[in-house]
Amino acid sequence: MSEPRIKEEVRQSIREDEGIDDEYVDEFIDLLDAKYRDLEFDDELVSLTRMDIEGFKVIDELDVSISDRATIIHGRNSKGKSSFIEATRFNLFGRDNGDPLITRPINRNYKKLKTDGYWRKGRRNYLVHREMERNQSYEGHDKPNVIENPEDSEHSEAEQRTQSEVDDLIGITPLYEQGFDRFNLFSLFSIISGDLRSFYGWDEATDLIDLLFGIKLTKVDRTIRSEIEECKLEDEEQEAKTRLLEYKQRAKRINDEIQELRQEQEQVEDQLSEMVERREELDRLLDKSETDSALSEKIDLKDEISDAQSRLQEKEDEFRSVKQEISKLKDETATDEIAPALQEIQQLISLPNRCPVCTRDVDPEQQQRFNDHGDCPLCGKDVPDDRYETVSEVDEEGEVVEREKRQEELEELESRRRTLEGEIEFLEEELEEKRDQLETLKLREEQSGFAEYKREKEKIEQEIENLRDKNTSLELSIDAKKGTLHGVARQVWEWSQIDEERQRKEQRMDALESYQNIISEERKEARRRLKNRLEERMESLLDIFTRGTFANATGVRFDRGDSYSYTIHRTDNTQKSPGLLGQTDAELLLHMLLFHTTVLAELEEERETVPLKLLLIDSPYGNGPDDENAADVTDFLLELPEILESYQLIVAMADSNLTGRDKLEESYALEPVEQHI
Amino acid sequence: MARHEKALLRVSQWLDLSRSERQEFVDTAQRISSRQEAAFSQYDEEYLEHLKQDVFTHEEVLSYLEEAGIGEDVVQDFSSGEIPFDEVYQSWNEIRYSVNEILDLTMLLKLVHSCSENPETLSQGIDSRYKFQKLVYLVNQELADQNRMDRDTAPYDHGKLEKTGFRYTYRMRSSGPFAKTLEEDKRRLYASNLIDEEVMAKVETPEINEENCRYRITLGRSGEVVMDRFASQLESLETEVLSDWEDAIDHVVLQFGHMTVEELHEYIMDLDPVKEAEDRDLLLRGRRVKYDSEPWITISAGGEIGHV
Repeated sequence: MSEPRIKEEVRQSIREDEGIDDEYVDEFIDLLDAKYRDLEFDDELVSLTRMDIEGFKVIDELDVSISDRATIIHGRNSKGKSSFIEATRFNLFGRDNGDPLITRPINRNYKKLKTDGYWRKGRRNYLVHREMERNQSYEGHDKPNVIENPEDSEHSEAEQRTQSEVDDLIGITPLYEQGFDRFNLFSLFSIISGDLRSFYGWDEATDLIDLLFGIKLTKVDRTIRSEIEECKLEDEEQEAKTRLLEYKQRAKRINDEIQELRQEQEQVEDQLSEMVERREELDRLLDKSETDSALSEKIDLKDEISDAQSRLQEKEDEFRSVKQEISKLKDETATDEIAPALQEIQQLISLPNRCPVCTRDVDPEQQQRFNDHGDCPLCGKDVPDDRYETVSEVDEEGEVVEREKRQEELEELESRRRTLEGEIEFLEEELEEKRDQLETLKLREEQSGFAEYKREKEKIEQEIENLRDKNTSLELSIDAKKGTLHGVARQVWEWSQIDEERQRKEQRMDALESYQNIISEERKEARRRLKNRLEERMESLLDIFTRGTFANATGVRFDRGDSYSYTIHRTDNTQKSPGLLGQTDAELLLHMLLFHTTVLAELEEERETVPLKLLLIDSPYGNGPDDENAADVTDFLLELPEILESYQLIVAMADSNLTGRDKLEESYALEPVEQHI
Repeated sequence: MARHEKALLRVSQWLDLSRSERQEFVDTAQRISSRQEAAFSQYDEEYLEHLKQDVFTHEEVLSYLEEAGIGEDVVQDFSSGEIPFDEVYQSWNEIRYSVNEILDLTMLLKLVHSCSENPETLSQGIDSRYKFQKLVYLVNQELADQNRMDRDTAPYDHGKLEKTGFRYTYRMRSSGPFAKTLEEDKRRLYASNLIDEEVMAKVETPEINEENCRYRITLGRSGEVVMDRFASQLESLETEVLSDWEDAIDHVVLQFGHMTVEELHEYIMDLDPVKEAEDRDLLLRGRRVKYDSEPWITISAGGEIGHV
């Protein structure tokens, strides 16, 4: 089917598809017009002329010139032939931070690594310089420098350019712009033992092959896919529907509650106005009743009682304090009662008359000495001043007066006490009387209708108060519920916004998916044709394998699904498919040699294609000699320069695997690593 | 003798007048001052001043003195109102005791007296210094236990002992509760014949100063005189603090007075505070309140200086 027809058919399908809403039709057609275009590559071919490496992995220093055609780099194991392949890739793309193969890129003897790749594009030469220092986080420190005509110009290696300049140089920019990863797309141009499936197993390999072979619908498809990605629902959007419903129900419930409360409030208000009316009526009745005077009498009585009580309290306080004073005064004069006895004894002991130690009597002279000089009548020493006193008749004494006064005070206090007792008694009687009067009054009130009205009024007032309280609390509840309702309503609004977005996305997603189906449908034919080409090519290549695993191959079948995976059928009805093989399986190497060669060979047929014509093969015999397939691999390597006529081939292998050296020398330039160190 | 004749009498004695001359002098002076007599007390300053100013400067007095042959310089003192009253009045020295000390001594006498009156210990007084110490302790202990709020408050709450009782502070000694100040007071009583200590027998008690022989404590001569006069008054006291004290003494004497030293010792050593105390620990503090009136001084003006 011709290209314009395909495009027209897709257009037609977009318009007719029931899954695509009208509102998307124009947009989708625009998208088709914009994306349904061929990729445009540079015409000038790119090739490697020399690689100068320093401090890269096991390589100390290695400087190799590369011929235009096919080169085999060989050497003893661990001399750097494999590192050469890696260094070439590093030169182009820097460090692949996701690739575990280059964990310690810098040689242990070097502070930094350096790769100088000399590339030719058309007639111009370029130097791509890329280095990386130790002691830094590698990421972001492997920026390249691109120098045109390095032999002719002064240049500084330190100057740094962006990766896009290297992309431009080797012509992969159109692919990079389609969102492909550089390392992955470069893996199409390298077969590295140990990482064999990096292209075949890449989930975007199918897209890349489509685009390389002009299946432009894939470009549209990729855009649709990213659009679909954008339509994926956020967590919030996923739960929007449920949450919206929840909040709506809650809002309704709260609203119902508010209505109920309002009804209750109305009832309370009705009751309240009834009560207020009744109270007014009672007030009128009470006004009329003659008990006003009784009431004031009662108030007076109550005042009088409280007055009498406080007077009584005062008197009792005073009585207590008088009693305390009396008791204190009595204590002070405690000794008065036995004053004569004390006086007698004072006189008797005022001068000792016998010694308590020897029991002998005191002499009159000793007594005289005490009187005259204050010497102790017993021991003759001075009696301390404060222990004796010279007494004279003149010692006038106010004590009598004091004693009499004390007595007077006491009598006065006693009399005051008696007065107070009388007063207290009187006040108590008065109080009793007033209380009786009050009781009588209360009794009288009880008997009149007044009391009844009053009781009812009190009751009604209590009820009014209760109802008012209830009304207030209802008001508060309603306010609170309104507040809650407001909050819930806001949630409803917010969730409905989110839910609208969800619906929009879901609708768009449906449309996009329909669009995608149209594309897939239309693309099937193009892919089928490409697969046929690849099958044919691969089957012809299989003829080279005559002695090993693929000796009895009968044919190749690419899967009908959405990928370029394939199966090799054999005469013994067994099938070989690379997807089922282990990474280290020697047979996988055969498959990849076959697959990459097939794709690259078919690419040579394409009008528009990547200008980078390079195939790097690391250890085509695997890591050890594989007796069964070694001869087939050698045959294949010998044929390869013929098959990929426009490609520059660089093969790295160990000396021990260089079995068919003589034959290989015919087709390849052999570069022993040791010579270039 | 009329109330203020005494001042005039002392002046006459100071002048070394004969008995008849004294009377004449007193009569003369009294006649001169008689108009203001009622206004003055015995030795009142105002009265003495009145004597100086109005009486001794009176011509009649001065001429009387001259006639009696009194020296010129003395007559001169009279006329210029410079009588040295300090010399005129008699004076003597007395050992000074505070009312609180006297009160304790009095109540100790009362205790000794009660023991003598007790039918069980009749006329025997207190049969040892040991018992004397311990009975006083028991009196204070009884007062301390009265009105106390409860047993647990003992260290802070002295019960009635706050206000009444002996002032002696008891500490734990090998003989049980012992108060040094009580021993001192006992000596004072002895020194003034208020009590006697009679050596009883060569039988020791646990008491500190009774290790070789025992002393019976009875009222001394003076003590008997005092008790004869005041015993009945001390039995019927009205002031609460004194009657409580007195009751406690009677009660202790009745309960413990008849006990032998051994019985009493056994009882005392089994009391809770005593049982738990270590040597020299404080057992019981004495009365805290001090009485401050000294009533006897006011009465001391009556009559001649008969004592000592």
